[in-house]
Amino acid sequence: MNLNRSPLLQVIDLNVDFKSEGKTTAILKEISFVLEKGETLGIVGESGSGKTITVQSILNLIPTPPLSGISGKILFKDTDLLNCSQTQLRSIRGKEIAYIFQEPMTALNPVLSIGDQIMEMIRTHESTGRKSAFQKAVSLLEEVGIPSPEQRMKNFPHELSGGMRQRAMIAMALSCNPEILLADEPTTALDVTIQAQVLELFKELKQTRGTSIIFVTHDLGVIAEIADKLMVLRQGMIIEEGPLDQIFKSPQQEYTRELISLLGGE
Amino acid sequence: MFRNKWTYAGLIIILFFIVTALTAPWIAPEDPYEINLVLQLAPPDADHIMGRDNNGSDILSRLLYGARISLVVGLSVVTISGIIGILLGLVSGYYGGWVDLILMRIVDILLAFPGLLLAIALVAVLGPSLTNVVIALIALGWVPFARLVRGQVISVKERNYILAARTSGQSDLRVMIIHILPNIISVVIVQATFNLAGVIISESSLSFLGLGAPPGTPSWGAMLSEGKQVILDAPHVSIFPGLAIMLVVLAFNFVGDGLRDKLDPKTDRK
Ligand SMILES: Nc1ncnc2c1ncn2[C@@H]1O[C@H](COP(=O)(O)OP(=O)(O)OP(=O)(O)O)[C@@H](O)[C@H]1O
Ligand SMILES: [Mg+2]
Repeated sequence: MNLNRSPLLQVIDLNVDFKSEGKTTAILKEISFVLEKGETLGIVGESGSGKTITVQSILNLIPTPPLSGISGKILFKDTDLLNCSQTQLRSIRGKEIAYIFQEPMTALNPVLSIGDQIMEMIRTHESTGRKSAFQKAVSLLEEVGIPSPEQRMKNFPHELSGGMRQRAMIAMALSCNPEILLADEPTTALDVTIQAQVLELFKELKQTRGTSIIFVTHDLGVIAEIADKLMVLRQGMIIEEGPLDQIFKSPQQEYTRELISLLGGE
Repeated sequence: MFRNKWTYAGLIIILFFIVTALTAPWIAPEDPYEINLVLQLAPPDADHIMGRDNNGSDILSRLLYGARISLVVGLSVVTISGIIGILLGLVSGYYGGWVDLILMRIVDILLAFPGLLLAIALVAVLGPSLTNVVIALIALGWVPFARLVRGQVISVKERNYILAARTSGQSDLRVMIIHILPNIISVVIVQATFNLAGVIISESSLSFLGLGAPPGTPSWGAMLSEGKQVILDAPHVSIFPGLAIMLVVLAFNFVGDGLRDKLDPKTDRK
């Protein structure tokens, strides 16, 4: 393989099996895709199609029950994330690849202030003092559009609105300037106007930071705004993938056509 | 701040208890060890409001000094056994698996015996002394903490924000100490308050049985024990230490109840 051309992230033949009550189910089947630097990959699919599991597999996050088997390769630069040490994995998690959870309401620690949580994240991966971590956290909150960030540092999650919390989550994910952002339905739990604002934020980040993003949603409309390419999952399989406009212009699958027609007017 | 006025009563008593323990050498009217056989068992009077004991020592002075013993034993046992219990509970609940299995079997075994009986057996083996009482109470005291913390950790560790912390590359130790512990610490503090009461009773009981403080030491339990021999002739010798134990233990229980009401997430708080 030509090393200069090797992509940032490459998933090759990912298979994931779950076992419950003695019965093994294939959750993901032969998933392969590539994410280049600065690119945004959209993953769509109905509930239960395996979007979350796909994204969580990348960081090796799935606990062993229910997980019973995982095979394939997940290459980040030259490291196989399915086959590397815990220490290696820990140094990649959060620092190189950050994950934004599906539910912003539950992904923040209720007893720690927003500021403490962001600073904790910064100090996990960088050996900086409290002062400079504080400064950095404030500027992150500013970057994600939280007004009067210095005051907000002291707030606890329950003192913030849903949109604010999601922004705080994004700030936390950005704290170590990761190369890849895994965003699992980051806008689904928000109401429509806030959704649009957060989406706008993602677009800005793409431009200013050049971060690669995997953006999971079941809303094709959201994908149309942000993704460069698209992957449609159904029952754990990729049923369609390709550049965004190509799929929108000429979807190969009936299922994709239905999804697009649901958008209306596209 | 607290809904129940008994909590305040408890707080006042505890405050009083702590202050007297700290200032005993200055506020005690007499040397608690001073033997004055002429005045043996003298009943309470205006100068010595609690009277004198078998040795003619001033009971009030001995009670004030006894508060120091109860406080030091209580705090050291609860702090050390609390820390041990928290650590074991964290590890057990967080990692599960065989570590959890073994620890919880030990906990079950220790809980199967009446605590005081085990403490008596332990002190009997180690030899009677206040230090050994502390060691025995620590050896048993971590158990309720470990069990409590383990249960709490199991319920907290599956939450998304803990997964999020792990996802962000934080080490297990960091996750346990920085993310999980603050979520469960309030429950632990409530437990510690009740344990303080329990430890004070246990120390008194062991000293009462002659397994704790050496004869002559002004431990409340030992004083009670000395009073027992003359309870019909001079009831004041046992009544005052008995009252002191009862008041302090009640006070810690009141405060524990108040804290539990306040910190329990299930009850509304503003
Ligand atoms: N903890 C679990 N135990 C057992 N099965 C699970 C577990 N988590 C997910 N699954 C199964 O794995 C499959 C894929 O789930 P996944 O969470 O990836 O779906 P999703 O596409 O993210 O759905 P949603 O849009 O609802 O978030 C589903 O069939 C689901 O039932
Ligand atoms: Mg999902």
